[in-house]
Amino acid sequence: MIRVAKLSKTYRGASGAVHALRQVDLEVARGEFFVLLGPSGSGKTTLLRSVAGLERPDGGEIELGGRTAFSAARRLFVPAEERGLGMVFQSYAIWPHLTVFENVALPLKQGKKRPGRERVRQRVTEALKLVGMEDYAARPAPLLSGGQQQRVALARALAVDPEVLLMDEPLSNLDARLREDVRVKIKAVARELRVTVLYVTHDQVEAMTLADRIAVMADGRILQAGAPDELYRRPASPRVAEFFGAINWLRGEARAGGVVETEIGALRLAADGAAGRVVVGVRPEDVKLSGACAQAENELAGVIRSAVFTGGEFLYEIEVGGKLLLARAMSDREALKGSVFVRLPCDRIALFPEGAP
Amino acid sequence: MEDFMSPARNLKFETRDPRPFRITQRSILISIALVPAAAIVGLLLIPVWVSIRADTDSGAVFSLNAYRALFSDPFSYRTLFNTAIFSSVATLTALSFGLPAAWIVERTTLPRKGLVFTFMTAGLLVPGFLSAMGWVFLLHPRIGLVNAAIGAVFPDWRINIASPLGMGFVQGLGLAPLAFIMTAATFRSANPELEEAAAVHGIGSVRALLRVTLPLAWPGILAAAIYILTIGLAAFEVPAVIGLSNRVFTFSTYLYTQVHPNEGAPRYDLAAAFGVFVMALAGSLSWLYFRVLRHGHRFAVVTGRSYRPRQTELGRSGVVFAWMFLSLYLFVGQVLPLLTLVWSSLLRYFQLPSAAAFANLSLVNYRGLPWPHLIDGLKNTAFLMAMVSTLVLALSLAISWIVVRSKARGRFLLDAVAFLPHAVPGIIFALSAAYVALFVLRDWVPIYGTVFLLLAVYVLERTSFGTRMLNNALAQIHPELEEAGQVMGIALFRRMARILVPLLAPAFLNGWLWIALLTYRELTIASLLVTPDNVTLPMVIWGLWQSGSFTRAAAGAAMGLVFMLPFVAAYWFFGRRLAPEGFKA
Repeated sequence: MIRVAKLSKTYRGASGAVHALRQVDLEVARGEFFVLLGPSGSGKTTLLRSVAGLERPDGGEIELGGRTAFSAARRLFVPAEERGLGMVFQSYAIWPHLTVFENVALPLKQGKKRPGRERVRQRVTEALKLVGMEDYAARPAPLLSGGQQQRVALARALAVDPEVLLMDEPLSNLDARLREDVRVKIKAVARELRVTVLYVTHDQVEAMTLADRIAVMADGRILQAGAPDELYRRPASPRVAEFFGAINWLRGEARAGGVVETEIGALRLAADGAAGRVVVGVRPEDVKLSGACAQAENELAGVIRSAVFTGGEFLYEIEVGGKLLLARAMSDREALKGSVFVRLPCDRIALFPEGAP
Repeated sequence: MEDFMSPARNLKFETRDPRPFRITQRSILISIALVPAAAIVGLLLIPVWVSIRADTDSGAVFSLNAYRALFSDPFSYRTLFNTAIFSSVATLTALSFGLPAAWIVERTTLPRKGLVFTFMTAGLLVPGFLSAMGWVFLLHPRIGLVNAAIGAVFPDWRINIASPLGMGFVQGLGLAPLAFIMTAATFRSANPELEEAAAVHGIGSVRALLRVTLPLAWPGILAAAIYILTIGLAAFEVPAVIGLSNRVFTFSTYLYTQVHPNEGAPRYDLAAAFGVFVMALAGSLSWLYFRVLRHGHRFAVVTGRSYRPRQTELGRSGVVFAWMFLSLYLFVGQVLPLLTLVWSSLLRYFQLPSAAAFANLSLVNYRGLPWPHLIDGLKNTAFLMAMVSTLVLALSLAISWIVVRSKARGRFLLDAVAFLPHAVPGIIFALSAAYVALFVLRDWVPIYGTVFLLLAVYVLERTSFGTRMLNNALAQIHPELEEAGQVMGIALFRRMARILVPLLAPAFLNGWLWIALLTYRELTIASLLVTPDNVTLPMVIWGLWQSGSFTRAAAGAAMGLVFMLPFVAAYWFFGRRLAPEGFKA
């Protein structure tokens, strides 16, 4: 549905050139919920705005539904208003001089197709119902709360019946609880309408819960694209791994037979084939703790230096072989103290050559 | 719900290959914006061209004769010297009233100071040539009220208003509201933490004012001074009313007399040469203005953050003193000259207020007004007010949208060109326009002597004001409000009509009123472009004054004030919250 090839965009300012996009390739299937995840300045918003037609890239191509919307080689640029998309903005961009109904109706009345008055009314009502705002149709926009504005913005984007829905950090201005509610709503609506969604966020939890697939971006490049669990379990680089939460890094030397000699001792890995200097990573939630020795593989003795109660779980700092490891454990039992045994399951250890990005 | 589930969706744009010249709404908008820009550049190049050519029997040749004649004539130097004194005194006077008023309003606890803001902004709208007439009645060496009072005590003493010093004072009183508004903005945006730091460290309030507040506001004050100096340099109305009949010339009135001499042929070449010289001067001052402003940002005092500035507690005597100062300015600077004017309009010949004078009050001056002429002027002025305001806002929207919103190449150049009429004296625009209409367009477009010539030049002149105002207003509107319409299929002109214009409505209303009122009082450009066929109201009044019938001119002026009342009322109710940034008297 969306195909982006070799897309590049450079901003030239007083302080030099900024490469917002460097040869980005991307393919989003029909009906897919695709999330662009990255820190600010990674190029994710530029990519989204290029697909929308709000930015004009310097090089590459964009196809929407099999039609070329932008091609640098053919000097072709279909302006945003002709691309037939729906979009939800970070600021919601609800028009303050109009009511809720008028906000949703304006693109229908003033857009390219302009269906009849009765049809517009019907479409607006359906769209508002979809987001649960049908009772607020007559309300002036400035009287809406942030969450309500967000839902009106979604209704407005859906009312034009787009095949592709673009969303630019739509939840970043909502408070934490509301964010969860709206997130669930967005996912449900997208599934119900089978609309293709391209969604930008810097929040990895948001990305993981919403996405069919995620592309992690940094410095104008896509570092890795794939299903959420794939990115979480098999990150292509330490940088991607760090994006999905804290991780314990250990330096080491790979030996034959899948063994890595690390700074805290020898570890056996499920993966084989690495050689030379490497780094291995273990997520805190994968670090297993027990008070007694189980004589198991990759088991090391350590001392608990701190334990923080965070509600559902404990966050431990454990000194192992002169290095501090982070570990998470359920808080259904009492906190561990003193000497413990730490086990690092061999299938939960990620391995990268040293110096990988 | 089937509607949303339907397979027929929206991705059906054509992917036509680009043609070199495709007419889009965007390209139409850019073309609209380029028309005034080209006209402005053209009008500024005319004086250069006129000043370096000379007509000989074998056609026009390149010549620097005009410059040679200009700079070998002692009269030119006297005019320059007068202009320097005049504009410096005007700047000093404006700042010595405007600056303390700004500090009082922004940085003290004076009660009811919103009123001061309203009166000060309204002061900008008082036509300068009317105040100047009032001042002649007050301070004329022979007939002036004040001089008569002084003469009763010191028989040999007179204040001569018809001097560069006196005219500068009158001009400065008129510019004080501008000084007030510009420096008020500086005081308002100053970071109070810097002063709080001084207070915490035990520095007293007077020393803090002198050592912290004023130095911090210094770039803003300097910028305001340069800005006012530039306006003083170009000022026409006060020198025209007070100086012209007494043969005391400044730059603008010099230009006027070269084009409208009492005897002999008009000297466009001399006027143009002087115009080019002053354009260069005004250009340098504007450049300096922007440099000072940018330098000011280095102190990081002026930030976008909205501070609540620290306010000095005024005691009871402080409040009394502050109100006395403000009332003194408002009375002497704004009310007294206009009152004198009205008083004079009711007398057969000018005399001091006395029982006898009151007994002699009559409407004879009003009956003696050239009413058909006055009505013609009023009609033209009303037409100009409506058309200029509307056209300026339409053109300014096109220009400001390109400058603020589009990423079109050269948009900053467009902005700079739109700003030029701000920096260049209005009389130079009038000179160029008169020349073009008389000698270039004459046979094709007989526009000279019509109200449309005035309309065109007024619009170009005010577009600088309109674009400054709309640049600011547009920057306040989140771009995503427009982009939302764009992505969801609304084309540019429809976005403007349905989204931008409604959101900009308050700015449009304010701007419309301001431009209409500035058009109402406009005399400078009219002085060179008005003929008996396209006379405007201010020109009728000034014409009466020039012919020497002062009291009748006063009656005309009083009528001018009366006609203005509905607009002042409208401004009072709708427009007074507008800080007229980009204002030019």
